[in-house]
Amino acid sequence: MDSVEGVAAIGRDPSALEAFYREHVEAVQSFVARRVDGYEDAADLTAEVFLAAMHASRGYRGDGAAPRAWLYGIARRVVANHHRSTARARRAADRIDARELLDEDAADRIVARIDSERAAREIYRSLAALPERQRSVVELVAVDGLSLTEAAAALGISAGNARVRYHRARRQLATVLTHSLPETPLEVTL
Amino acid sequence: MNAQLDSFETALLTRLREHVDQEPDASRRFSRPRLLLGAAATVAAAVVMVVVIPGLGTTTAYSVQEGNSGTITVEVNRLEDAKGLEAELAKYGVRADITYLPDRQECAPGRYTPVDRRLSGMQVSMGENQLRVTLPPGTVRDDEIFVMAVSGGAIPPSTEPPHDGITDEGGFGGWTDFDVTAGPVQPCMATTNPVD
Repeated sequence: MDSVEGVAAIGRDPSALEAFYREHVEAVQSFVARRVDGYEDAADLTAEVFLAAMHASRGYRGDGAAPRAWLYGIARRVVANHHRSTARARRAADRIDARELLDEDAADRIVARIDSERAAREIYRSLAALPERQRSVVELVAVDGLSLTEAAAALGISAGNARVRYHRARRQLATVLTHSLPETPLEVTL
Repeated sequence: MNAQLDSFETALLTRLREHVDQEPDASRRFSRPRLLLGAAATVAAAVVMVVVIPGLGTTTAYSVQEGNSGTITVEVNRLEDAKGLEAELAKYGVRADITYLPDRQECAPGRYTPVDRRLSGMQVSMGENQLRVTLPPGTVRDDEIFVMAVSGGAIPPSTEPPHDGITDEGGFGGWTDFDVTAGPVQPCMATTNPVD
């Protein structure tokens, strides 16, 4: 279980990083698999999410989002940036070229994870037409299974704001996604 | 808790642990928590979307320093005076082509050809309120040009009252493209990024 101090130290303390990594690496890989279908991209993005979290960790106070929701907020932005980057060179410098770390068995496991997340990926892609402010909330709720409260914490907005955005999106997507978006997502108090 | 890591997960953890030691501590001076810091921490020579935090309380737009090992460090606090930064880098023997664009604009790709070698150690780090470029010795050879284009702008904080202890403090979104080329470098043809 993460402590606030432990999460805040992952950018400068290798032991804290390892504990955090072991706690969340599976969740991060699944999060990524719900958004991309290339196993090499998935490997690279997993590395980028943890690098971004390490960098952001100094600002983690634990009074907003729980560690998993905080990490999902970061992961969401990393993946969104990946989709926006059209000419993403793969030259190595400080960034970790994670795809180079894959062997055949590990690649197979990522491919299997991607296959298992096919339905979630279809929902993710169907949200592309939504305005960013609505999409961010719906994505975390409908694709990742967060409650509205958790999604709000991940995005740094109020729960009320998240609820408004969700219901506006639900109306907008009524003809497409009614079956996928529950009227009132499960609320979990952090 | 995932106690059993596979080969990839183990190798990635090893690489991440190495990165802890390399992580610059530029953000220590700026403790104001921001919510948009997670987008990109440290990025490679590449075209990437990044998030930078605006420079508050800084007095100069940029600075260039050379360490004892010959590594040149550029710190950009505000996206101003690109020509001045080029001139400053020239004093350190680095030819540079620096472009600052308005927010949400990018240079169309293909305006230069990157050198065909691994640029080990060259990096751009995003602190909480500055862009830092690190150029190890030999990164930009005498007949080469360091190319960097950057755009960005402030994202205002939410106007909604805080709720549940959560506030949207805003931040700064940006884009950068940087690399080394043997030349030539064509002028930047600005395109608008239709993000959000």
